[in-house]
Formats: sequence, C-alpha cells, structure tokens
Amino acid sequence: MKRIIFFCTISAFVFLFFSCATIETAIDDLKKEFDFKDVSITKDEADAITASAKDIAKSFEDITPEQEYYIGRAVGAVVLNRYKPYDDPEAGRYLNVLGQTLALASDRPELFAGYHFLILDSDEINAFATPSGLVFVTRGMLRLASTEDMVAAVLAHEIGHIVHKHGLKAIKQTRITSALGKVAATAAESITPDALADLTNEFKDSINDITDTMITSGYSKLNEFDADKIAVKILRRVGYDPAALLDLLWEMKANLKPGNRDFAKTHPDPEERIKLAQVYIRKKSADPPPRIRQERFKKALSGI
Amino acid sequence: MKKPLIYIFLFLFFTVAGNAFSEEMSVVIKEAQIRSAPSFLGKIIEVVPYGRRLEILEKTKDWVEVILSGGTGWVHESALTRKKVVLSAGEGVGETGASSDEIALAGKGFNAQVEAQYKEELELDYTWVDEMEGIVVPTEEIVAFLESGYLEYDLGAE
Repeated sequence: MKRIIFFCTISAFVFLFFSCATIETAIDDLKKEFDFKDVSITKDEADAITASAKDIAKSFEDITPEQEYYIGRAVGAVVLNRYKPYDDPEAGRYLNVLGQTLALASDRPELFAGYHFLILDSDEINAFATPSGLVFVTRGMLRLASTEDMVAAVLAHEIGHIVHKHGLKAIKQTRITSALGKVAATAAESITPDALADLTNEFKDSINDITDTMITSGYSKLNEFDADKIAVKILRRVGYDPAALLDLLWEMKANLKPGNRDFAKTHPDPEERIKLAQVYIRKKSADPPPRIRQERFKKALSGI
Repeated sequence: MKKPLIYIFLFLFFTVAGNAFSEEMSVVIKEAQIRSAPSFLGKIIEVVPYGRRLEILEKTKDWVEVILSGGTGWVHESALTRKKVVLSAGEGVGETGASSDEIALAGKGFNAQVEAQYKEELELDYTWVDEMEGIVVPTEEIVAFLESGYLEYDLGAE
C-alpha cells in the first residue's frame, strides 16, 4: 500500500514540476517556426531559443491583434489616398475568392478581421499588404499575369508579408517602446483629450514608419525572400504550380523600368529573387494549367 | 485505517495531474468561429469574441478542441494565443502594462477613438477600407473554386 502512495505522490510532483506537455509544445512550436522538421533539439536548446525569442518578442509582438487591426486599416486608408480602386466587381470578386482561398492555406488563416483584396486603378507594377490583412494589387501588376497561377503567386507573396508581420516590423523600435508606454498608461475607458492626442501622435508616427517602408523605401531583401518562400509553400499546398512565381518574376524583370515609382523602387531585382526562389521550386510543371482554370482567369481579368 | 490517506493522495494525484495538462488560451481575432470538426468545412456552432479565455481539451496539428458551455468545438490555432488578457491599465507586469505573455484588454490603446481622431487630422477616407472588410467569401464558394479549378487543398489539414 505504501508503494501505491509513494508512486502517486512522486507522479503528482513529476507532473507538477516537469510538465512534459509544456516542454513538448515549446519544442514543437520552435520546430514549426524554424522549419526544423528533421532536426532533434534538446530541452536546453529549446529553452535558450525560447528565451532569446522572448526578448525580441518585446518589440513588435507586443502590438496586440486589435492594435494591428487599427494600424492596418490606417495603412490601407493611406494607400487608398494615393491610388484609386479599380471599379470592376467581377475582377474584384475573383481576386477575393482566389486570395481568401490562398489565405486559408497559409500558417495564419485566422486574422483579426480576415484577408481582403482590392485592385488599384494604376498602370504601375505594384502590390501592397497592410498588417491587418488588406491586400492591394495594381492593374499593371495583374496585366503581367497570363495564368491564374501567376496571379496566385502575387497574392501568396503579399499574404507572406502579413503572415510574418513584416509591416509591423517596419515600425521603429523606439516608437514601439514609447507607443506601448502610452497605451499602457491609458485607461480603457474615459480617455482624456491629452491622452487621446498623445496616442494619436504615436499612432500617426507608427503608420508613417510602415507606409514609408511599404510605399517609398521597400522592405528588406530578407523580408522579400521570406515572402517568396511563404508564397511557394502556399502555392504548393493549394495545388498551383510554384514555378508560376518564377514566370511572374521574369515578367517583372522584363517590364519594370528603373526609376519608376513601383516595384522596381521598393523590391530587390527580380533576378535576385528568382535565384533564391529556385532553391524551393523543383521545376516548372510540364502541363499547362487546366482549361477551366484558364477560362475563369481570362473571364475575370482579360479586360484588366 | 490508512484508507482515507490513500484517497487524499489519489485526489492530490488527479488534481495535480489534471492541472498540469489543463491549458487555457485567448481568442486573438474579432470573432472566432468554433466549429463542429477540425476543418474550415465544419459547421459553425459558436462565435466567441476577442480576448475570451477558452479551456483546451485537445490539439491536432493546426486545430484546437475547446470546451464550450454546451459541449466542445474546434478552432484553428491561429485564432488563439497562450497569452492572457490584461484587464486594466497597470495590471500587467512592468511599465508597459502588459508583459510579453499578456495581451491588453480589448478597446485599449489604438482603438476606434484614436482612428477617428487620426482620420480627421489627416482627412483620410476610410470608405473603401470598410468596403473591403465587408467582402466575405463563403466557405462553400471556396470549396467550389478549388474543385472547379482542379486544386487540391484540404481545408481540414495540410
């Protein structure tokens, strides 16, 4: 009988102090995050990585999903202050069905208020994604695509920026520290006019950081390559030919004019992206896209 | 004579073991759709608001089974976080209000009020932003789109 009691007590303490479930979850999370599918890591290694990840997490990760949502809406409003929406309900619907399908296959299918897509009435070759899930693609960019798979590649790349929060990462670190300080000092209800003015200023500066990066200077090359990597993953999961990304990049290479206010200014040379993306793409499918897929693409976007 | 002692230890064992496994997560999207099965095709059985804590029963690769008042349901893991919701200003750890393990209360910080002020100051038009957010594609339409385009994504798992 004493042995049973002993066993129960020891087991209880083992469960209490060495919660295996938690450790395993942490290791699984890390493997998932860093794509270490075939790599075995020890608990100590996992702890070390988690600890350093937490330090970084005190930056943009502290922006709550709700705040990310309001930031994204504002970035969207700034984009729409510069570009007009393209009024073609059929093309717009097609883009949303395609885009929301791709988003479901991403690692972040659930966003605060979902993914939404809009065509911009511009000849520029360009596309933007706000942190909250608003994706904008110009008519100029869509004209480069000759298949649905190529349009999917554009959208999947933009979804990649959202999944890895590249927009939020564009906010300067000092800004995040001061903005989160102001947010913390504010009560949830009965905000004073001064506090509101303070918060609005922090908000304005944060939006400027993002739009400056997104529209003017561009994300880092690493972020662009990262978004391409996610795009390939999404395209493959859904059943599109990942090589459509390469086709699109070659089209961009042929059509981008250096010095223009478009992708050429904000993105690395497409050829650099092709070289890296080729690492993840085995080879182009020998078969053309199914007829019905090509027909619906043409029906929706031939007039673009 | 020793029996009550055994019961106490057994009780302790199950309580502690139970606690070690029980886990709660918070909803991080505006409205989380809880479904009858671990799939976007599963029927929506309950809609849970941002910030709500849910008790976790089981996890698969991408889906989490949660306990509801009238049973259980499934939600995609990207709609949840392990972070806790901080109820008011200064309630969290340190000066930032919420630590990296917590999320601030809904409506706190950058909210609709800040947005209204920002919109007014910059004279921005949010009409199309609102229009975009209104575009919702029903799951059935996505399923039909996948099938007719000879696409193969399984909405339940990879």
